[in-house]
Amino acid sequence: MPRYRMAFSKEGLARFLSHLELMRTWERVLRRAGLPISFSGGFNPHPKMSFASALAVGVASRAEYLDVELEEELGEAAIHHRVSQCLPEGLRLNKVVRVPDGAPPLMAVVNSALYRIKLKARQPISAGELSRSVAFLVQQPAIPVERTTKDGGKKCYDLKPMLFDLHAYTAGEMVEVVAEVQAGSSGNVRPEEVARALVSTGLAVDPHPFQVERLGLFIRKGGENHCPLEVNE
Amino acid sequence: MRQLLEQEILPRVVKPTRYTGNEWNMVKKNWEETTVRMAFAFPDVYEVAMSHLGLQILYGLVNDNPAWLMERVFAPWVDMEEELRRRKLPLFSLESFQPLAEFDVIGFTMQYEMSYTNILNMLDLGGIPLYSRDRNREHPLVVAGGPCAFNPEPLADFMDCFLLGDGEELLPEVLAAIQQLKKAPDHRPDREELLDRLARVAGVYIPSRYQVSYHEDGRVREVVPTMPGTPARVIRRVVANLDEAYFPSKPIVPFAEVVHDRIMLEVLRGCTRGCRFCQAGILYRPVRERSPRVLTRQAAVLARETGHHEISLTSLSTADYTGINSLVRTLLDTHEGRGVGISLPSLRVDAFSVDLAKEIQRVRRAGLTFAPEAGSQRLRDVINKGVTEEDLVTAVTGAFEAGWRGIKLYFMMGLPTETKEDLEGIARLARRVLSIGQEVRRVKGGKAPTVTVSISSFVPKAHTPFQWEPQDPVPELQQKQQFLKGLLRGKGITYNYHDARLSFLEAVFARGDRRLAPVLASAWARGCKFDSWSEHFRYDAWMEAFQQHRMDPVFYANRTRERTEVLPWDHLDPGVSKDFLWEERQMALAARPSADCRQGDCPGCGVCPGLGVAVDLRGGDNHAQI
Repeated sequence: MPRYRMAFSKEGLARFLSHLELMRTWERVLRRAGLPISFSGGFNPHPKMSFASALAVGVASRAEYLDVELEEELGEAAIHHRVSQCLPEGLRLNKVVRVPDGAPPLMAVVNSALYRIKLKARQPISAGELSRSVAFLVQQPAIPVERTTKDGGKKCYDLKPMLFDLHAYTAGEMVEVVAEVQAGSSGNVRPEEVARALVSTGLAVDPHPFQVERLGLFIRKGGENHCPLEVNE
Repeated sequence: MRQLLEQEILPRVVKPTRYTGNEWNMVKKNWEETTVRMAFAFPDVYEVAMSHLGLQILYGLVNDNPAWLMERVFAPWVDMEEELRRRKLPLFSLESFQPLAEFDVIGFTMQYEMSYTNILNMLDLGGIPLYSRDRNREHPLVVAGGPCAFNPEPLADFMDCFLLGDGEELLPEVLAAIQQLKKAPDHRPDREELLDRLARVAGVYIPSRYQVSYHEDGRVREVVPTMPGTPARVIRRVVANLDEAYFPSKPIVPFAEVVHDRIMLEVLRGCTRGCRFCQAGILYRPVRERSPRVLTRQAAVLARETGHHEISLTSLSTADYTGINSLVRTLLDTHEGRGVGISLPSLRVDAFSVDLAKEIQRVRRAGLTFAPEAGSQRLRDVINKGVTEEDLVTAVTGAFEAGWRGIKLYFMMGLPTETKEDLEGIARLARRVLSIGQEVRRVKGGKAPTVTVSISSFVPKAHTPFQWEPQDPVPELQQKQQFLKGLLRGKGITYNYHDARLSFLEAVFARGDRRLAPVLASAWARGCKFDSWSEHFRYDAWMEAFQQHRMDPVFYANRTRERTEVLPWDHLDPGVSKDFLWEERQMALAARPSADCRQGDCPGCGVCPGLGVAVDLRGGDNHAQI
């Protein structure tokens, strides 16, 4: 069955959709678009679609990816046109590409995410102070971070090997952090964990992010990032 | 408002899509360009509210008129309420984030009694005075409809008017009347002038224009209109022809997973089975079916416009639809290739229904639920539930043989004339069903069968043959629950029951009068809200509220009423005569069943001559050709 990869954004009020709600919404979008979707078998048939990586409630994104399997071959432009007309406000389709048969699923290859995290400063922070904090953090041999698990327990992990890149800027009363971190099945860093790590250096910001946006999802190979849409290489 | 919501509030509440609006098919109009602005207010949380078909119908109907606007307002969950109150923000609509007080009309739907505290809470969150007498032309007109509007007396002091009957008929006339009196989009007409005008609309009940007097013992003496032009009885409005009734072709598709997360295709309205405890069975008479031709077209439109994965054939009794087999087959043939299934909200207890369920599960498989309602044949005859044990045995045997392993059974307890044997009958039936399942499994294999028994406490309702009957006192209901718990132990059987104290309060308000208003207000002030959500139900606060006003809830719930007693809802007329209800009650006490007019046998309930309508069976229209 032909598989298509869709790049989309999730913005405005739509960023408050949970991952489950987003999946349900896409299922309905694809039906409304009248695409010949392929279904899983069994008593509860579901459209064959899979997402690159779940996005937390409230996080906006300009680079989400979704693979959809169809019953028959259709032009990318036609799919783009039909789907775009059926999307609710806040979701936008950016690109559709045909995925070669046998290409690995999105979830297996996407392993890096780029976030912009806006943090409220608790007191005025100078650019110098901020860059010293960032430099201090990235020079640490280990960055222990605590995570609350689903059952309410706490566990600790080392953020260091999963933090690929970190920059921060002052913007009025905000600090804007741009962080590239590991994502996907072998380990997922949460944006608020990066914020907490910065607070642990003594930076006077609110550890609860004011706003988070995912700027990109990548396939990271040998220190180099590839866009999930580059399917033909 | 929107910025504050996005940046400060929504990140702090659970399930924020309850408050974002912006769903597919939401109608967002230019506020300034409309003349009459109405908020449809559902006094429960989003997931419940968005499962209500009436909302989708009226939302489409009103918004189709360019001069009118309808937006949605629901009860915020407790976390959201706290955020709003802390910031002194008013309750707002989902479409344009307008404060509730900015609307011309707020229309509450009264679906169940235990949502009344939420109604008061929503008015308060909207900054609107609770009592009608404290509101003036600066405030919205507050109206309410739905089944509980047929005994709305506990809310009489809070509402400006009640709308009785099918909203498709009545609401446009109400909005047109308001439009006539509005001189400019931001003008608000004088309230008395507005009520004078609305009093002339059939089906509108203006409680402030009636005087209620009482006997010394607390019973109602009489209810009389106090102004010329006010009808002595307000008669229900009814859609005569369902094929021609307004149909919402673009219902809102929620982001959140709501209770009824599917297309609701209304195949018929009304039910003539005549179960004597059932209020809906009276309030939605007569039976009116949609033609198969209209239904197949509507199903196709809804599937295309919503993208839902399931079409539910909704009504009070879908298996009774005249052409149900051919309708189901046609719908399956059209939709199953696209992964869209068909479902029935309830089944009759018979082999026919099981065959229907088998047909339907070609696409999706759900559990099966049957409602024998009572444990003995005698008691089933009392309530006129035309089901025999043989019917149940045939139905569940068919279900187990077809591969179902989980069966749910619904019963009621505390019904009039109930004895210990009737309760034991419930347990006996449940065990018999389980052993049929085990028998089938021995032959066919598969998973072990399970039977879930859900037992609710009988709540006597206004406008039913049991409206004169007492409810069992709470301790007695609790004893019966424990008795059944003892009988329903063991592997394969699960027993569910509701808090008897909640059923007691429901019984108080279902047949209450105007003197309950201060009790309701006090209970709300003591923090009662979301009463039907067990984690929020505060019985002690309710009892304190009754004591504060020296009101006795037992007077309303546990007292037998006389034939001659003036009932608080006697001036509200659903079309079915009180004499018929009394005759039905007498038949009940004699354990005699009554006729079903579907079979052409008119029991004389009075609704057809009274409302100028007729039973309308269209389901078989193209049946002959298939």
